[in-house]
Amino acid sequence: MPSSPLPPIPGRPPAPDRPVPPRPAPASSGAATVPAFDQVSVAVVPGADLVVRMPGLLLVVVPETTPPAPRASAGLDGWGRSPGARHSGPPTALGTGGPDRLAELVALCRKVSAEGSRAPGRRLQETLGGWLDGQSAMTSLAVAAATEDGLAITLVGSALAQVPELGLRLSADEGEPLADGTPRLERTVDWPPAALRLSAGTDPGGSPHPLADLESGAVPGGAAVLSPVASPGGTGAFGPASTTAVRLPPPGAVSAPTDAPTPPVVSSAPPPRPTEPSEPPAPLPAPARSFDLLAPADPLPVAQPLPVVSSAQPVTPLAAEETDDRAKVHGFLCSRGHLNDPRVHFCALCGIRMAERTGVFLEGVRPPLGLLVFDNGATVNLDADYLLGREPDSDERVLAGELRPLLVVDTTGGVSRHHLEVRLHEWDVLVIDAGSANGTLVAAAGAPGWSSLVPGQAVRLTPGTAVRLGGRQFAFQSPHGGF
Amino acid sequence: MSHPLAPPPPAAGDLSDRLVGTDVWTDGMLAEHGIPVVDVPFVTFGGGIGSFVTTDYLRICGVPTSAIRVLTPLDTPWQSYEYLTTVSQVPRGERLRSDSASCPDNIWGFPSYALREGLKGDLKQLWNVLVEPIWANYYTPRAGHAFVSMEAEMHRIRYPEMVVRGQVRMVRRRAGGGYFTVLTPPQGATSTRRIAYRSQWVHVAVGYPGLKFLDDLQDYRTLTNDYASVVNAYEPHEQVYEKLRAKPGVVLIRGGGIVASRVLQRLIDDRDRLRLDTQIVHLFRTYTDKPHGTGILKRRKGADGWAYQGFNYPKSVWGGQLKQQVRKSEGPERARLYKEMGGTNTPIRHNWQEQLSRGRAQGWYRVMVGQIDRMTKTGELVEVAVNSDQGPQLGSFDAVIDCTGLEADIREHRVLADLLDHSGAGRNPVGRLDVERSFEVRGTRSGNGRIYASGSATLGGYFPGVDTFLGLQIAAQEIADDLHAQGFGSKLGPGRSTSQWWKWARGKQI
Amino acid sequence: MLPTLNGRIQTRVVLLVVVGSLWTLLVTPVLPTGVGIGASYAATFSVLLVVTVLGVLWELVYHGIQQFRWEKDWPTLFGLVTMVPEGLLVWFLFAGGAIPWVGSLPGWAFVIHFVTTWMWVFLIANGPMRVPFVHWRFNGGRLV
Ligand SMILES: Cc1cc2nc3c(=O)[nH]c(=O)nc-3n(C[C@H](O)[C@H](O)[C@H](O)COP(=O)(O)OP(=O)(O)OC[C@H]3O[C@@H](n4cnc5c(N)ncnc54)[C@H](O)[C@@H]3O)c2cc1C
Ligand SMILES: [Zn+2]
Repeated sequence: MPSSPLPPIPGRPPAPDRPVPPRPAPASSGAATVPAFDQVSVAVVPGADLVVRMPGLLLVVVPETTPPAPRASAGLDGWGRSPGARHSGPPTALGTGGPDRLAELVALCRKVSAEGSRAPGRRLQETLGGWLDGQSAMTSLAVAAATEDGLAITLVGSALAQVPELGLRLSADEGEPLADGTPRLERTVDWPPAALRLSAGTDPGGSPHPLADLESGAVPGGAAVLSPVASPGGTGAFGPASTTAVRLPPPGAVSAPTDAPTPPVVSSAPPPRPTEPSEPPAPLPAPARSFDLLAPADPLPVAQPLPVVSSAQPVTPLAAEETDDRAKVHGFLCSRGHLNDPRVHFCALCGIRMAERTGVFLEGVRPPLGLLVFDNGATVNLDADYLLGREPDSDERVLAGELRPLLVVDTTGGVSRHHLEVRLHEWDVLVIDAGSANGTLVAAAGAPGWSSLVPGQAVRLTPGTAVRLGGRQFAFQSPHGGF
Repeated sequence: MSHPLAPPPPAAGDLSDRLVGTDVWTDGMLAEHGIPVVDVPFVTFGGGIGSFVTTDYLRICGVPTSAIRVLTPLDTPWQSYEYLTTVSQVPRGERLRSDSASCPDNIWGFPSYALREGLKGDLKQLWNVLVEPIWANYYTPRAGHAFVSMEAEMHRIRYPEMVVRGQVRMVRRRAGGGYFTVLTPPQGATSTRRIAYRSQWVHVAVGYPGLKFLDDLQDYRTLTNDYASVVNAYEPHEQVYEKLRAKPGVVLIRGGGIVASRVLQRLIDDRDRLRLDTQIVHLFRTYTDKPHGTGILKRRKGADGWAYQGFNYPKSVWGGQLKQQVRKSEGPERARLYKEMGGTNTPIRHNWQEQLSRGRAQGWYRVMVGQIDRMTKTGELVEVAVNSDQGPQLGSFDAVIDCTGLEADIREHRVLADLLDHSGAGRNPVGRLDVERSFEVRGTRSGNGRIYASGSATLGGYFPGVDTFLGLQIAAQEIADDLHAQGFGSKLGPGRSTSQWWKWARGKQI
Repeated sequence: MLPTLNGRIQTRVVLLVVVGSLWTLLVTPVLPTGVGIGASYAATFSVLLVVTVLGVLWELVYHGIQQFRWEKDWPTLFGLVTMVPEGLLVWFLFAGGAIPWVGSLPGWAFVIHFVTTWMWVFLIANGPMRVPFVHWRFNGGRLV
C-alpha cells in the first residue's frame, strides 16, 4: 500500500499561496507565523472557575456545583460504574451536570490532545461539538485549541474570548445554540497578534500575576490569558544566546508524585511517568521566555542580553574573559574545514573521516560540546559554562557573567542554591560540585552504581554519564563520540 | 581551505613543495629532505578490517611478520568499525548484517559463526542456517562474536608486531621500482615529522573515504548551533533516545536502508520497554511497495516502502553467478549491473516487521514519501518542510534522524586523491578507484612493484561486494594469489590450506 | 551455496566420486543386500554411478530454478530436500529394471546407502570442503 492517504504530519501545512522558500526567519508575532501553541505562555487570572491546559488546547470551565449523588453509605457495594464503561457506553440520556460531567469533558479533551497531532483544534471542535449536542443545562466553558494555522474556539454559555488590546470580543451568543437554548459558538480564527483572554463565567477582571504561567494541568482561575509571543527561536530581542536561566520543571510535575522512590541507575530511572501514557509532562518553556519570566524584575546590569553572533559586543570588564560565547579551542580541521576534537575519527559536523590535515593544531571557535538531557526531556546545549542550582543567579560568578545560571526546580528540596558547575575545558565537559548540601552523584554509562563528587573537584563527563542532584537527574550526551 | 595560521615550524624530515610536486621520487630526494626510509617488502595501510584480513591471508601463506608493515592510526583493526556499528545501534550484543561464513578471523569460513554457536550448544542457530532464507531470516553473527574472534586471530598471527602507528600522507612511485609510503607518526613519537616506507608492494585499505552528512543537516547545524536534534544515524545520537525517554515526542526518520531499520527497531524497543509514547514519521525518498526488478528472473522483494535483501547485494555476488557475471563486464555494462543489484535495501527481520505493522495499526508509525526541503529550529522543535508526493508539507519534530549514508567522493580522501593526481590511478565506471580483477590499482605499476586496494574505495570494479567482511577476504585472496605469482608468499593449495586450518583450529600461533 | 552451473557439476562429480566412493566402499559390506559382497559392491557402485550421471542432468534443472531467485543462490535446505526426487527417480530406475546389470537391490539397502551417502556429501559440501579448497566457495563451486 502506498502512502495514501497521506499521514498527517504533525504541524501545519504552509499556506497554499505562500511560496515555500525563501522564508523569513520566524518573527515573534504576526499572521504569517503562528506561535507553536505549546510554547506560548498561559497566565491564569485568579478566580473560582477551572483552567485546564494540555498539549494543543486550553479550557476554561465553570465547575458545576451539583452535589454528587448521596453515596450509599452502607458498605462498598457496587463501587459505582467504572469510568471506562461510562465512556464507551452510548449515553442513555442527556448528560447532566456535576463533577462527573466535568471529568468527562476533561477526559475528552485529553483524549483528543493525546491523539498525537499538535493541532488538535478542528478535531476537538468536532468531537466536543458532538458531545455538547448530547448535553443539557450545560455549564459555561471556553476552549481554544491549536489548528494548523490558528485557533479553534468553542464558547458555551456566558463564555468570552477577547483580545483586549485590539478590542476584539467573541461571545457564545453569536453562534448556534445547543438543543436547550444554551448559547454556543464554534469558530476557527487566525492567531491574534495580541494576548487572547478566555473566560467562562464572569471574568473577574484584572491582569494575571506577571510570573503566572500554566504549562500544563488544571488549576482554579477566573480567566486565562494566552500570550501571543512564540518563544523566539533565535530571533527577537532575547535570542537563546541571551538566556540566563532555563527553568526546569520537576519531573512529573503534572500528575505524578515526586517522592516516588528513585531507582539507582539512570537508564532504568525515567522520571515517574503519569499513569496515562498519553499525558506528556509539562513542556519546557523555551529559554527566552524563561528569561522574561524568571529573571528578577530589574534586569541585572551584566546579564544584559548579549547577541551571540558578535564577540565585539562591549561587555563589562568583569565578564570579559569568560562570557565570550565564542570560546576558542585548539583542534583538528576536517578536510572540509570544520574544527574538531583531536581525538575523534569523524567530523562532528559533516561526517568525513578525520584522516586528513595530519596533526596540525588550529585554534578556532568551539562548537557545542554536547548537551544535558534532563529527566523531563529538557535539553541544555553546552556552549558555555553553567551553574546549576536552586538560585543560581545569586552566585557571584553568575553576576559577573562568568557562568550562566541554570535554574533547577526540585520539589524534594534536595538541590542547593548553588549546586553544580558544568564547565567546558578544551574539548571536555567537566562537572564540579559547588559545595552543595546534599552532594552530587554521577554514574558513567555502564557503571555499576553511583559515585559522589568531591566538592570542588572536577570530573570529566563521558557520553552517557548520568548526574543526579537532589531529586533531579540529567544525562550528558555528545555528538563527539566515545571519549 | 585557507586559514590564517602560522605554518608549523619546518621540522626535520618533512615534505617540501618540491617533493609534493614530483610524481616519481628517487632515494636521493628523501635523503635530501632528511626523511628516514624503512625497507619492508609489503606495506598495508588503513589498518581496519581490510588490512587485517589481507595480513591474515599473507601470514597463512607463510609471509613472515618482518615482511609486512601495517600503518594505521587504529588501536585494533575493528576499532573504527565497532564505533560505526555501535552508534548505528548495533552494539556488541546485537547481530550484524553478514553471513554466517563471513568470518574475518578465519579465511576458510569454516567453522562458520553459526556452527561455532551450535557447538557451544545453541542448536537453534544451526537450524537457522539450515532453513534460511526460506523459513527463517538469515542468520547473522553477533557483533561481539566477530570482535572477540578477530582478537584471537590477531594474536595468533602476531599482528601487533607488524603495526606502526600513524597517518599515511601519500604513496609515491620510486624511481627504479616500488613505492614510498609516507607516514606521519603521532606527534612526538619520532624525531622526524615523516617516515617513508620503501616497499615493492603497497596495499591501500582506508575504508570509507568518509560519510557525508547531507547539506541540509550541516546547514541546520551551522545556523542553529544545535547538533542534537538533527542527527545522522552514523554519529552518536543517544540524546535523541534519552530525550524521548523523558518526554513523549515525534521523530522523523529519513531513509529506507538497514540503518533506518535498526534505528526504528531501537525507537520501538524503547517505546515498548519503557512504555513511551513516541510517534514516528518515516520519510522515504523512493517507496517500494511490491517486488520489483527488471524481469521475472530479477525480482527483488519489497513492501511497505522497503526493498528487501538479505545482504547489501544479492548473495551470489560473493561467489556465484553474479560474481562471475560482473567479473566479465566492463564499462557501462558494469555500471548497469551495479545499478540493478544495488540501491538501498534492508534485510527482512521478523522482529521489526512486527513492530512496524503494530505501529501502522496503532497509528504511531506513519510513512511519507518525499524529500526534505528545509529544516528550521522553532523553539525546542525542528520544523521540517517536506516536498512530498502529495504536495508540500510542514511539520515539527523533536528530532530528525537521517539514516541516509551518503559516501564521500574518493577524492575527499587525501591519499586516494594523491594516487589519482600523482601516481596514475584512475576511476572505474562507478567513479571510484579503478582496480584489476586482482585488486591491483590500474595504472600505478612502478617497475616490479604493484599497488593493491580493497574495501569501499574500490566499489565499481569487477567484484561488487568489496565493502563487506567476505568481500575484503575475497580481495585478500586475489591479492595473495597475485603476490604468489610474483614470488611473494607460498601457494595456498589443499595441503598448505589444510595444515594451516588445523593450526587455526588449535589456536596455534604462527 | 552460491553455485554456478559449471561449479555445481564439478562439485557434484568430485564429491560423489571421492566421498561417495569412499563411503560406499566402507558401508556396502554392512548393508542388508542379501547377496554376496561382490554383487553388493556392483549394486552400490551402480547406484553411485547413476546418481552421478543423472545428477548432472538434475543440476541443469536446479540451475534453471535458481534463475528465478533474485539472489541467484541455492539455499542450504535445497541441497537436502533434492535428495527426495533424486532418490525416488534412482529407485524407480533400479526397481523397474532399467539398470540391466544389477539383479535386485532390496529397498532398505538402497535407502540406507543412498541417504547416508547423500548426507556425507551434503555435510562436506557445506563446510569442510572449504578447508582444503579455499578458493572453491568464491568460484561458484568450481574446482578448476
Ligand atoms: C555501520 C556499518 C555496518 C556494517 N556491517 C557490516 C556487516 O555486518 N557485515 C559486513 O560484511 N560488512 C559490514 N560493513 C561493511 C564493512 O565490512 C566494514 O565497513 C569494514 O569495516 C570495512 O573495512 P575496511 O578495512 O575497508 O575499513 P575500516 O575498517 O573502516 O578501516 C579503514 C581504516 O583506515 C584508516 N585510514 C584512513 N585513512 C588513512 C590514512 N591516510 N592513513 C592511515 N590510516 C588511514 C581509518 O582510520 C580506518 O580506520 C558495515 C559497515 C558499516 C559502516
Ligand atoms: Zn567536517
